[in-house]
Amino acid sequence: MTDAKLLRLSAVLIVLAGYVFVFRSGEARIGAQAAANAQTAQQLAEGERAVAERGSLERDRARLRAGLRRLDVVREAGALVARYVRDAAALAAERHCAIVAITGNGTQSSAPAGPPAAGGAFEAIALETTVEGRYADVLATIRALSGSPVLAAVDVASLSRKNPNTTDATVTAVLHVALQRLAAASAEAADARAR
Amino acid sequence: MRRFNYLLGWSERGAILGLPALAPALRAPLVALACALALVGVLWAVQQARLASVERSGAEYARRLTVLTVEIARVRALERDRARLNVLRTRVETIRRSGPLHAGEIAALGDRLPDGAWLTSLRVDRGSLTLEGRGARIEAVAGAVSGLARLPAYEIVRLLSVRAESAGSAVSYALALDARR
Repeated sequence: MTDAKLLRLSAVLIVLAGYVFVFRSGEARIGAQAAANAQTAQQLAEGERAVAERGSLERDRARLRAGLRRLDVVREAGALVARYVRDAAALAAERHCAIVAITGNGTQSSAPAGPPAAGGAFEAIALETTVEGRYADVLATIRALSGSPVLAAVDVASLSRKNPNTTDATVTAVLHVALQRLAAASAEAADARAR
Repeated sequence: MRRFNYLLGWSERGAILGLPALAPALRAPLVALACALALVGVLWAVQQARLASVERSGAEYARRLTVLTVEIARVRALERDRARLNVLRTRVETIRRSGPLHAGEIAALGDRLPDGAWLTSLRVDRGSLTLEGRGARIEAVAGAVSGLARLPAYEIVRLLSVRAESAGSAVSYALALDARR
């Protein structure tokens, strides 16, 4: 092989080596870095979107918290029962009914509905409430009891005519009422989060 | 007088300066070799510059992401709190509806009874409803059974008893309604 041919071959080999070792390997590194950048940029964009929603999240939370605050759910159990007794008597009287008995069966349990970790923080205080009045008025009282400021789940246990053998239209309804209150730990946690 | 010429001749000057006397056949391949080396050098410089540029961008993104991470954690905590409050709100709405729901169910029972049949008592026991009432005639009880069977909340209406009252043609009846599962 002559010197000229050797030089030409060397030039070609240098160009090929440059393509393989400089261009291709450089492209691979640049591509990998660009892909990593794209991933980081996507995380950044998602994060910025989430942060941009912070205002609406805070407004939502404030609205929901205000809604809960309007309810009487953070009182001590005794005070809550006292408030319920007053409210129930007033609601029944407004509807021409009478509360003839309220008995507590002494049970206090966590509310069954709702996932516990996500906020099933209500404790239920079970009471049996007996209401007397005309049929339509008793139904109106049942409707009103669950809408009072004290949060109470109302279930009808029985409804019967007080004097079935007479023309007296008075009916007696026995209601299972579960007063709801926020568990102490949950209320404290909510306060801590609010601070 | 003898004269000396100290200046070298042109052919001798070239030899002293050392310029290689390249064979013409080698000049083109040498130029090609030099160009190849220059091309690879330029390519390397360009790739290095591009790599440095994308690395700078990556470092900037990473820095911004680090700064944002604290804010994102706060937003996630807010989202969790909102979800918890939403669960509570849903539960509160369910409880709020409990009174109207049960009152509505009782009212619907009354609405399904035909003329001449009325209720005297109603008891709820684990999703099953027991009704007692009176009717002017036994046909009214049949009307009550068929009317109550059309209630969507209940699957089966069972007749427990129908008895003639001791006085007159009135009857008393007892029915059980099983809630739809």
